[in-house]
Amino acid sequence: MKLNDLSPVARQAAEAQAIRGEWEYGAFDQLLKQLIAYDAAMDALIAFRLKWVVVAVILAFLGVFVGIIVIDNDEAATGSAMLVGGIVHLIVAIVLWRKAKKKNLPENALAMLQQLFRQVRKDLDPKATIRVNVDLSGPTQAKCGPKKELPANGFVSRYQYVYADPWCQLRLQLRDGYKLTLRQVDQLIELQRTKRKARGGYKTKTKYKKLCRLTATIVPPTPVEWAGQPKVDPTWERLRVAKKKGLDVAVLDRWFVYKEKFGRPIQNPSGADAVGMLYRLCSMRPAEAK
Amino acid sequence: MTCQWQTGLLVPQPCEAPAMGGCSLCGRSLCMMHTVSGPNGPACPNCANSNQGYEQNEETELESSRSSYYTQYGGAQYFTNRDRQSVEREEVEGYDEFET
Ligand SMILES: [Zn+2]
Ligand SMILES: [Zn+2]
Repeated sequence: MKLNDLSPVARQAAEAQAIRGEWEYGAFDQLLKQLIAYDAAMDALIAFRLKWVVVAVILAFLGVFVGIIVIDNDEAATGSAMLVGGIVHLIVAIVLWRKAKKKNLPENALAMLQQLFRQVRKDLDPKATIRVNVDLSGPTQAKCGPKKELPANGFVSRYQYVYADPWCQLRLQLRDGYKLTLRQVDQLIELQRTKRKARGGYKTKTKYKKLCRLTATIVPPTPVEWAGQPKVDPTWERLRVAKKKGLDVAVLDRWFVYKEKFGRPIQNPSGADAVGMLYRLCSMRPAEAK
Repeated sequence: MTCQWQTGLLVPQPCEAPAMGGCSLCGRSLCMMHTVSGPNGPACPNCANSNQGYEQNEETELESSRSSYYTQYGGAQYFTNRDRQSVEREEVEGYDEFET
């Protein structure tokens, strides 16, 4: 699905890499479906353009190599055309690949939202809307905090960058008047380690870790006495009850850590992870509310 | 006769649409939307999940996720204070207007 095939709303969201505002469930599900299809097409395009870059690298090498031979044989014009042409072609290929990569959407985040709302759609108050503030642009340079120097630990240097990405805020109203909110904040931690090579020179390696924090809250319509505590994983989860505007709001946090051998981790909690949190918060409602 | 199927996950509610028939396995009466066809005759989404050869649809998927949450986190009877030690009372930081 190309940008032009999207509905105007989906197109706007894809271009802005963001979803905001108040949504009916049906329209929101349609939007996610379109964005997921668009992203799949973009992924294919990015893969294609990457292959093209690889081919362009080979052609550029050949161009330089053959070009020099041709120049040596007194065909200066043809030779330099080959030489320059190969390099220009490579630059074009790289620019197009990077351009496509910039428009990519986080498919795991979209899948989470889709699965989450498909599972709870029957529980939503049909008269209320879903409030959405979702940023799909990922850990961009603008979200990167200051460079931090870490103890060298045997390396020449160790630097850490932290990208903070509070990308997701949702609020939904249930049929029984309770409100649920869900927030996700991602932190991408980049570690750059430089060591001295045995034969001289330096080598820098970059490692990434992704830390996601999901926070779900349940807000009662009127003051309630919560019925009890649901199952909480003491390692990865924390349950709190906070006073807010005279109401006891129950808050469940859950942390997720992802690591990847190469490159940035792109995993995300699943929709079922999020629904599992909402499910447990809902089980705290006193009996008459259920 | 109305449909006896419970819809929803967080706020379970009786379907209450007019029943068109019943589940041939557990006997509860069902509306058209909550009837799944398969080798043992019409079934409710729950019986369709626990018997081979039934088609999958939105209702059976919802039912299977509902039972997986139930298995993982328990149902109404898990209101114990067993996990109370992991609960603390404090203000929520960064609790903004968006959430209320
Ligand atoms: Zn049945
Ligand atoms: Zn029904």
